[in-house]
Amino acid sequence: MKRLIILSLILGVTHQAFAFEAPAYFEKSCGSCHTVGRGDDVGPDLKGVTERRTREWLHQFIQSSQSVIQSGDPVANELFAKFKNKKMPDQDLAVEEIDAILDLIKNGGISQTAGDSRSATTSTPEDVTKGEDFFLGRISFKNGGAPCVSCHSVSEYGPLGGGVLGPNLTQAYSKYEDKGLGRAIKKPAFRVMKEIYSGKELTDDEVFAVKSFLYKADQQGSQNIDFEKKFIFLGGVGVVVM
Amino acid sequence: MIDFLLFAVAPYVAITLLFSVSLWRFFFTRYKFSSLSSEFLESRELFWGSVPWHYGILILFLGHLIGFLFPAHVLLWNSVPVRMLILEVTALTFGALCMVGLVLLIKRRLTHSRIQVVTSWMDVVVLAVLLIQVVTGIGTAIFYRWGSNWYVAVMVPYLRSLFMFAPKVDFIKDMPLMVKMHVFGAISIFGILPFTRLVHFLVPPVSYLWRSYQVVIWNWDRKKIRIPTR
Repeated sequence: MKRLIILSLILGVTHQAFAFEAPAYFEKSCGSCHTVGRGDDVGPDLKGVTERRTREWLHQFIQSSQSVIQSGDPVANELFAKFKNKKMPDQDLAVEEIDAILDLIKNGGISQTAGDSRSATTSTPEDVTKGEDFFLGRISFKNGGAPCVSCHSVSEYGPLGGGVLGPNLTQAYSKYEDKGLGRAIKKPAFRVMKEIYSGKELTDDEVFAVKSFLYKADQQGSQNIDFEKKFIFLGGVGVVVM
Repeated sequence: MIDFLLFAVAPYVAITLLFSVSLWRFFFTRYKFSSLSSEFLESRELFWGSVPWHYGILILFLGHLIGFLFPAHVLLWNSVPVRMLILEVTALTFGALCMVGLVLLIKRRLTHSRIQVVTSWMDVVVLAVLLIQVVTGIGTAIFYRWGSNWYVAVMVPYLRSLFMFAPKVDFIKDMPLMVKMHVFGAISIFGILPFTRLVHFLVPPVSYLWRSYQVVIWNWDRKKIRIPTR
């Protein structure tokens, strides 16, 4: 009986894992960095990619772009350099799932909205302050998404610095550029972030404010402060007090 | 695939073991639901190990539980940076308290011959798992700050997905090894719980909080009993 229960649980969760729809996956995971026929973005325009590259190459690159780059593949390295060494997240997909996405791209992809066209270079000091408040969680995002500071740092902002689970975003604006950064915030393609903000997408105004804050931080440059030692010291003080 | 097994299948195996073995023990060997106290064999070091350990672990468990039940409230609390700092430092303090207590308990169990006599292999397993759990917990707090925020943003949705029988392993896949170890350590504690003295979780002496005082009278020299002269 116990074996039956375990087996049914495994089958249940496995079934969940195999429910795959290419358009929904493309929108959620690929569309934040790529377009199909609307020009380069964070990553290259994917129009015609199934003709330019072999399926085998595309499969390898989609599953682990860094492995292909590190193997010395000239095309992969050229693309990596062209797009400012931005790492494409590995896609944990089965062969048939990748084929479904490639077929979708071959047939023109999905209709993608252009999104908010405001550039952070036009932001006011109020926009930047508002973005800082959102980043640090002083103001909550409308749809309940976690504040950026949970996982990211920017310069010296936040109590003893921001989070370090995700990358430091001080130079994110230079790296992703205005449009790409906006997309990355609005529809993040990074696996954990994608799940965190699933159903909790930031509004256009929130994206613009955060982007404006990151633009300002990028201009001001970074500071390296050793926060770990201060945090450990405070924990040690706590133990002594206890 | 390994992530799927560790974080989508293992939790259900652990919970199945927890319920089935605990129920079996309850119905057939219920008088062995015990922490198997060794206080009579050595009490001084036990005090300095057990008290910080239990205060630390209870507060931390409560903290994880509150985050799980009220994630939005935790984010709201953390929306003022100083409050988040207070929460984080408090959690780190109790984590360190756990570590101090656990190290003393391990030392006690390994160095006292009288304790060694009543030590089983499962006791060693329990101490090893708890040590890994505390080390990875403290390590995560320090090196992947701010855990109180991303715990409710990342881990709580993952845990809730387990309860919905639709585990979202994507939350875990890209996590640092230390965090993965901490999560799997927690899962394995549930799995081994009914096979070990940790089974005393299930019968906490909650009634001690409101029961009447009991007077205990010793009719012999306790110190002499505790430290026998050879």
